[in-house]
Amino acid sequence: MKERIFAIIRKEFLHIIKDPRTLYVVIGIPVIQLILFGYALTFDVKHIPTAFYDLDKTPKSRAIINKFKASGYFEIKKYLENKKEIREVLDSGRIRTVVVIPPGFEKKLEKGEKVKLQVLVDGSDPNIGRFASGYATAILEIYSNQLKLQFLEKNGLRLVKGFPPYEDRRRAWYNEELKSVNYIIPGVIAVLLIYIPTILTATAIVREKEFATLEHIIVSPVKSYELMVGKIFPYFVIGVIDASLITLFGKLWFGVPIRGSLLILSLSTMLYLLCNLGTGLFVSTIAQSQQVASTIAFLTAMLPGYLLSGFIFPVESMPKFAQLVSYLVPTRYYLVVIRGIFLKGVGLKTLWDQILVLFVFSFLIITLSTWQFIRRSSQ
Amino acid sequence: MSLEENFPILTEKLTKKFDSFTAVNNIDLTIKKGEIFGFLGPNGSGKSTTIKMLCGILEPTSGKASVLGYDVYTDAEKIKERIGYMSQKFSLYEDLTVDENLEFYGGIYQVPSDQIDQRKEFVLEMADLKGRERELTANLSVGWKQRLALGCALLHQPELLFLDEPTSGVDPLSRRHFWDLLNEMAEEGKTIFVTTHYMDEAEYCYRLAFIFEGRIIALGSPQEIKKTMKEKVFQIQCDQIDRAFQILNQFPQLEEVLIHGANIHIVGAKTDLVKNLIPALLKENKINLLQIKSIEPSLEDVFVSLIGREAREKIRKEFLPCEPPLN
Ligand SMILES: Nc1ncnc2c1ncn2[C@@H]1O[C@H](COP(=O)(O)OP(=O)(O)O)[C@@H](O)[C@H]1O
Ligand SMILES: [Mg+2]
Repeated sequence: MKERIFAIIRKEFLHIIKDPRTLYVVIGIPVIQLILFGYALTFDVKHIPTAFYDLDKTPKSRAIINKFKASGYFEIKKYLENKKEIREVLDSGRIRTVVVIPPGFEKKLEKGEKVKLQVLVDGSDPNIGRFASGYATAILEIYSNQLKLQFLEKNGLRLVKGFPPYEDRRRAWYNEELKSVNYIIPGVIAVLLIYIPTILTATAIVREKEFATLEHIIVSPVKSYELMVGKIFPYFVIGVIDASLITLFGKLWFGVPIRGSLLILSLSTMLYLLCNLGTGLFVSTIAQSQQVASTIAFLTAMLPGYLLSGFIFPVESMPKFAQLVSYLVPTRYYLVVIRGIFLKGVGLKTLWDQILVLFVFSFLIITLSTWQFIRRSSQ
Repeated sequence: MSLEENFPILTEKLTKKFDSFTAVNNIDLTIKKGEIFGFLGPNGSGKSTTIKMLCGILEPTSGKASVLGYDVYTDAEKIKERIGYMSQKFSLYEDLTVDENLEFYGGIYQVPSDQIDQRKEFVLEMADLKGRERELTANLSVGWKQRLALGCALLHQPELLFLDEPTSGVDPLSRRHFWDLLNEMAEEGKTIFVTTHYMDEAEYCYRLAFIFEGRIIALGSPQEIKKTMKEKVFQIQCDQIDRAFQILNQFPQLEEVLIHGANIHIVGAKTDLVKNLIPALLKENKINLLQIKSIEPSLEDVFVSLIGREAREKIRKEFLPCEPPLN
């Protein structure tokens, strides 16, 4: 039994080594995509020309303006004196953002009430608008948390448990440089790990159908499960190598932090890989040609993985139906895990439920596709 | 010796249906140890389906079959270990070398590691591939690929070989060489079950069966089968053979008209009709007739006449409630 599985694994690695295209798919594509996505999706906007309309005019309101200046994202071009000017400067196109500090800003802050800044943007560039309001919210949040902390420390309340500001403070620190790349890269890793294992497994099996070599293996004493293990194992190894490679690359090239446990990350990555390998196996039982296999893999694994997982669009903002479907997409759970481990450094205590779902999914997918594979190959 | 040892393949009313379509219909086979048994039939007649059932990878719908003494329904795994299989497509990995292919098939058949080198040596010798172990399989010509595929099927020294159209697409010289190999193996006591749609190859078989639309329509040695032929076969030598064929083929009274090498064969027609009609027809069309003679039927003639009769019977049964008019 071992010899038979070993013979298949050995042969599979020979195919991989001999075909330069596979190597390119395994190493080239992930690195290129990581770089492309890394830059395309993390276009951090700096020095946004900004005007302030300060209706509070207090030390705290001036302090927050300084925070904006210090962040490097905003360049303060003008202080406005009346409401009419807002429209004028935005229309002129020279100023992209107007931040309005409401009256009573300082008082509310001191009382610990929730304050809001009004951020008006030039709608002609939605990107800048999105970034500007995102940064503004974050800067305000960090500032108000600092104030709360100072207040607490002054009053010796630091050790009071369950006092909300601590939680808030942590949240603002997940991504304290406000770099979207930190948020994007773990997501890119997650989606890169969908296509490659799925497509490679599926085409590796379908290719044997096309060349009728599968028929010969089925006539031989090789059992279905041996064939399956022998075919999947090499691509599991490749998946692990790929995952390590792009994680390392993300860390070294983009400087993305990894704050949590590498062990938990590795284990959940393996579960996630099994989900995708299982999908590939399933696709191989349906498709009769490599072309069809790639198409099915793209539609059933890649597309939902990109669109319905929360990678690009947050799940909460999807239509109700899409939200329901997203529960079936393994990437959804893996994204929570990988972002949690990368950015928040959280552990099993927070992530166990997501990891459990990944476990159940990988188990179900592998079982189902094994069953289907055995059923099909004994016909 | 037990029955199973003398008869590696025994089937009784073996049948395979795909939904309502019957691909293999009540086949009885008794195949003797050490013979080359040919299974002949046109495409789609059920040859591969029969082989798949005998190899234990396709469950029959009904009937019995035992292979090397094992029941195909219950002991498929045992059968797989002891048979060799080779298909039309040769099942080789083109991106691997000759040696890597052998290594793989040795592995999946669990050839013991202390024997594998010796077996590979034997196969390379047989296939005439010595010194080319490191060559990429894709670069071999079809004839070599065919012998390598046969070698892969022989690595684990099976006593029974299933060859499903092993010679299709192979040049005549390599086919000849291949049949010589099969003959040698049969002489060593291996049993060979081989399907083909090349009629000339049938002559090399010890015994053969004609299969048509899932049923066996003739079975025996080539000589026996030829003797069953009641109808006469005429050979016509003439000019413009293609035109002559076109003309003669328009006359249903001539039954089967075939091109056979450089001649035309007329199978199943009445003697005086042939003797009178054909010279007149050819003369009228200014085709020079060289010779008409009655000959020994070839296997192809037999097969065609059988299929013709089958087809006629079928038509009579299905479409004509009364006797057809005499020709
Ligand atoms: N899995 C299948 N499902 C349905 N029909 C099949 C299947 N396999 C073969 N057939 C049909 O059975 C008939 C016999 O096929 P096959 O045994 O492959 O013929 P041969 O090998 O003599 O060319 C053909 O008509 C073919 O279409
Ligand atoms: Mg066939």
